[in-house]
Amino acid sequence: MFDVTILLVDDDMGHTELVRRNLLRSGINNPVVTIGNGAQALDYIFRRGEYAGPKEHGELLVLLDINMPGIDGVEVLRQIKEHPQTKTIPVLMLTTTDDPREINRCYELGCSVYITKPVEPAAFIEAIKRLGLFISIVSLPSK
Amino acid sequence: MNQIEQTDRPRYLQSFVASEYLTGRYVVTLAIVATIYFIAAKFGLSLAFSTKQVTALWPPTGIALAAVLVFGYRIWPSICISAFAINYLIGGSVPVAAGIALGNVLAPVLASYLILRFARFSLAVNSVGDVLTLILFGAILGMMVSATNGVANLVYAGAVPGSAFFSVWWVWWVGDGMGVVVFAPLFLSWLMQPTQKWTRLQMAELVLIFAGLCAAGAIALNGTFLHSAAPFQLQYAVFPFIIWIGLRFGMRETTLAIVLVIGLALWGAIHNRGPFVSDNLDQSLILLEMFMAVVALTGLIVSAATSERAIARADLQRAHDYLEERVRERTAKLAETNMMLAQKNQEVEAFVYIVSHDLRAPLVNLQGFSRELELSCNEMTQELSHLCLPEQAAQKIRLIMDEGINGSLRYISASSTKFQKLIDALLLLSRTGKNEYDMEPIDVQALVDTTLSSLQQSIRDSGTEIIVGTLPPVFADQTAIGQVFSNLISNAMKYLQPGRPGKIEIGGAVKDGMVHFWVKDNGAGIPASSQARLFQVFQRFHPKLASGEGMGLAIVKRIVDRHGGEIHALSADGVGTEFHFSFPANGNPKT
Repeated sequence: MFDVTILLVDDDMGHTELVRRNLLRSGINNPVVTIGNGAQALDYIFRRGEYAGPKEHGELLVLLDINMPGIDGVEVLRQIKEHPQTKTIPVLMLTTTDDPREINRCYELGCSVYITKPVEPAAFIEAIKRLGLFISIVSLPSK
Repeated sequence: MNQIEQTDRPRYLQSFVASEYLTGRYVVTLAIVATIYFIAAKFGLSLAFSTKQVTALWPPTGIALAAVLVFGYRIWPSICISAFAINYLIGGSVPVAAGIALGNVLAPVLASYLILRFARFSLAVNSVGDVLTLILFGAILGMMVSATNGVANLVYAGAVPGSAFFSVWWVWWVGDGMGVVVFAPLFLSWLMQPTQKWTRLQMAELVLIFAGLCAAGAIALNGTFLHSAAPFQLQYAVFPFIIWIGLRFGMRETTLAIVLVIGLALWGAIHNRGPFVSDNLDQSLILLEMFMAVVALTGLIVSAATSERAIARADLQRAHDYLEERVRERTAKLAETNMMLAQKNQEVEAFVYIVSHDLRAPLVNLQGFSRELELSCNEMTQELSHLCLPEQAAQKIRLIMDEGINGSLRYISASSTKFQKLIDALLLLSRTGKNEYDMEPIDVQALVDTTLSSLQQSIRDSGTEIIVGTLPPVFADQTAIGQVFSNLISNAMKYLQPGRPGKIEIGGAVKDGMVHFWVKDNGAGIPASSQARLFQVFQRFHPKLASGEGMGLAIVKRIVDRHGGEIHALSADGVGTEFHFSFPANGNPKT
């Protein structure tokens, strides 16, 4: 899990706090960036607006909530997967919706894992670790 | 005349009845009626056999009665003037002519009074009752007045010997009566009945049948084309035509046919032709009168009975149309209500979905942070054990940690878990009403086998006997039907009667275009008092036997409903439950 920044996008501060604690508790010490809405998350990912600048943020892993005011998680996912530079970023959908149609839509758009809140910490950490490992493997050749 | 509705009359008659005495309209009407009466009287005289005042048929009486009935008593001057004129012109003295005219006025006035006073009479003469009323009050009773008065006048004037009173009276009475029977219905029906619209084909039929009647009448009654001098008895030949017209057409056409036949019979008799000719004048007259009476009665009764039926049929049709209209209205209303209900139902489901979905976000925090608190408490307990605290203080803190904080946390956690399950159940139900169905032929046998194999473990553990009959295929949504069987079978498994070997029977059959299935168990059953709430959400009947949210049957019901099917349960408390459900064989999903 080297160099991977975890971007946590959720408008519920309680949820982000719970995720952050779970990550810490399971020994994932990667930097965690918490953003409360879809528009800012896109700015961060595409390094524009208040996040514009030469500063690299290394590899990203996005934890994305679906239900957010304004630009929602599905739209953020769509834009990430649309852009050639960002489409390899693994996205983990983390939401309260277990509606099969919503889940299917996210998988169709290219999300890596879909987890329904409330999450079992163990299952959640397992998913993160596997994704992190996956990133470190696939990103090796480009380094 | 107040027994008869003003609206019964055509407009021009209404305006006459409403007009004042001595207005233009009144005088003109008087003149018209008087003229018709006078012409009819002249015509009647031409039908006379011997005595100028005594004829076999006296048309003016029928016209007078019809006029009094239609125009009211105020028409009397017409009758009076014309009757006086005709009697004076044929050689009567002024007193005799005036006396006879008085009787000719009194007879129709009295007849009209009797008819309107004692009978339910329709001026259009469209029932058998109307015909009989006209005959009894008009012809028989009413004309006794004119006959008695007329003959008395003649005897008084010396024109008829007193000894001949009765024989002349009889002929006078029959002639006047025949005038009423033949001409009153003719004028009443032509004045008071609405004009019938005959089709082209009916018009052709009418022309043909009248032509036939003319031919038959001319031959049978007037001897046309017959060169034999001997009297011939062919008068019955006219009856098929009269009956035909009575059955197939209205009172107007029938009365016209009667007048035609009677006219031909009289014409023949007067000219010494036809079946009524004999050496004995009285006998000829009797035969002729009888024939005319039979023709008139036959035609009038047949026609009146036919129109009674037509009116009854029209009433029935109106009632039928009215009912049909009501049914259509109700059906439309029902469809509208159904649509509104369906829409409301959808709104409620959408609402439930949104609410339960939004409730999940705070719930995640509730569950997540109570877990966090639990962890923190455990850590704190560990930290405390490393500290060197006085025994009493340590004891007190442990008590706070264990019973105080952890005890509270357990309740919070249990409640939030319950909360989550309820929300999940609600979401599942609202999705059951929302998701789209993929209708296809389903091998139910295979579907049930799959369901049973997923329950294999608990079937084996509980030692339940499962009997699966033949299950016909059904046209439905695979996932939804799978859910129905899975919910019903697992319900049966969950609520088996403790201490009794379980037995579950699954079967099906096709009947009346519906595919029926059943799931029967010998389990705990459902208390009769609860059966009405069986398919409602959050209903649980045996909470001690198994856990659950009480959503299973509500979901089953929703799925069956959406497939256009039906489900019901038969159950006896402690004996077992049977669920019977059916789907349209060709598939007919509702939204």
